[in-house]
Amino acid sequence: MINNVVFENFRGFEKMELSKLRPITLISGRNNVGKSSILEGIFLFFDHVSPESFAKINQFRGIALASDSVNLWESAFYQMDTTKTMRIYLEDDGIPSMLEYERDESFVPANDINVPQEMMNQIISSAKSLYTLKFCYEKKDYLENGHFIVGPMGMFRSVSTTLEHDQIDRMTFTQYINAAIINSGSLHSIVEWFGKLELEGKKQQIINILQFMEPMITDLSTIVVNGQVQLYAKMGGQLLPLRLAGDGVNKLLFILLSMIANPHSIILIDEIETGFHYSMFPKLWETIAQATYESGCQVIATTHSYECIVGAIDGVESAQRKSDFCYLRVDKIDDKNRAYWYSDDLLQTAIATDMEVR
Amino acid sequence: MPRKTNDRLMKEHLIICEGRDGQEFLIRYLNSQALSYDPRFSDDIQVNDFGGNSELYKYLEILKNTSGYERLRSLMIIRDAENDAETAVRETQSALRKADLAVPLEPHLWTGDVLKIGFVLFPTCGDIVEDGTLEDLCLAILAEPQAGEILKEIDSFLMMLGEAHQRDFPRIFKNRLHTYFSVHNDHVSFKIGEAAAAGAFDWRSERLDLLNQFMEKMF
Repeated sequence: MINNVVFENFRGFEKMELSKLRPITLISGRNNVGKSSILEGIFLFFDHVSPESFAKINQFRGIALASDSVNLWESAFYQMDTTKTMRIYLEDDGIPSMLEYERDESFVPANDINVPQEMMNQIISSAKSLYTLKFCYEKKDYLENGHFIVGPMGMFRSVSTTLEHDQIDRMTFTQYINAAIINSGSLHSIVEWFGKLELEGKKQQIINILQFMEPMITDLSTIVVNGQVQLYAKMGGQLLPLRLAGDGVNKLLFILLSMIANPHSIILIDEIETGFHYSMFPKLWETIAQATYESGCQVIATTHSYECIVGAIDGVESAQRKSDFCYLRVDKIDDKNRAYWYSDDLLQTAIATDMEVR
Repeated sequence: MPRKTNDRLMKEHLIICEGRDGQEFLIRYLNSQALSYDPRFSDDIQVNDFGGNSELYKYLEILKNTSGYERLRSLMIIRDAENDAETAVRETQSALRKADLAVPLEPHLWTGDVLKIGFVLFPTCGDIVEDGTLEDLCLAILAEPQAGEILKEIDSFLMMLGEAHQRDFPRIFKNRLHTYFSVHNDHVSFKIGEAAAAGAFDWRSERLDLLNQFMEKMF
């Protein structure tokens, strides 16, 4: 579980520190204070081994795939200034680790036997004419470094550290769920994870949870239509594509399957309230609190909704997981970012005394 | 849980008091003609309710997390002395200390640099404290010239009720004030804030001088 995280020169943060995170951390604050950036930074940290990691965090914001450094990684740097080193310090289960990116104008990649020579020539040419992005990941005695290079086929990730496959640090599975309603990629994961849980005999558990939002759902099945596997729900005795059950049901299913099918993972949810009626919030949070506890996952979510914050207090209390919850109000004062920490108890008092907590 | 009005910190000077009655009372006082000589009273001071006295420490912790706290220049706490003024002083100091804020050595004394902090207790609002509540102060500043005579009659009535029907009045200050409101056509069923708005209190009363002096030093 992430305990603390510090961002330096990342997105809108010159520096931003988040401390005492809990298994369920809810984040709120005004527009443009960096709520989504916090989730993207955590995702980048755990997904840094992927050559597409920068492209992914841009896609979360709906930015189309690009093949140049300006549009790939420069937007991740504070004020798009790549001359300052970007760092993410993260403490995971009490173990400190650091991910660092910095501009490198002198690096020229060596030939790689796994890359065709013609392509390698283009990568070397690109590294010489532009610049590369040096990365370094450290965790206790573990060290991994290398470079990102914009190549003809997109991003190329060159690793300098010689590590055997079994020596490479295994990163925690991290799922980012953005505010947009479930897309085709998410649907693919939903079907895959549902199949896995069905094999493990956990299908009824999923149905029971979904019923609080849609009591008419009595069964779930995977059905092949036009060569594609889809999830169908039995509602009122009739099988219907689950997609027709509404955004809330699909989003809830995606959140739950992310946790139940991937124990001990990190689930990042941007604008969690999207797709849910406010009356659902207490039960939604109760369900998330129970699933978090049972799966060992950590949920970090953002919201703009006051009702969602109040619902979180009620939900974690119903699930008897109050000590697993904390709330962060993020703010920007005189261009400095800061996070204010609330326990469940403090947040409850703030709400009861009409204090503004967002 | 129903949605309530959330208070943002909008002003540089904040008074926090125990309960809605105190909040309404102070807002009416700050906006009264008695203080109109200095527009800062009505324009630059925000009044919030911190709930019950036992919640003061948590409220202060939350206040430190609230948007606008970093712009605060003065913070004044007002609460009832209740039936043990010395304990009320210690409780207020303890809450400030626990919240890691500057602690005034006594009531009616400002302390701190970047953020000035002070506190007073109803009913005296001065450096010398007495047991009592906001209601006691309200009873002492009633605007009606005959208020003193009427209160004597109310006291006799309550005593008679107590003796005839074995009634105990553990919060006699409330019984006295609200009986007074109930026998005044313009104030029937009013709460303190409503009565204040309806002109029940004399905002120029000498009993408010110490509160006035203390508030002037907020700026």
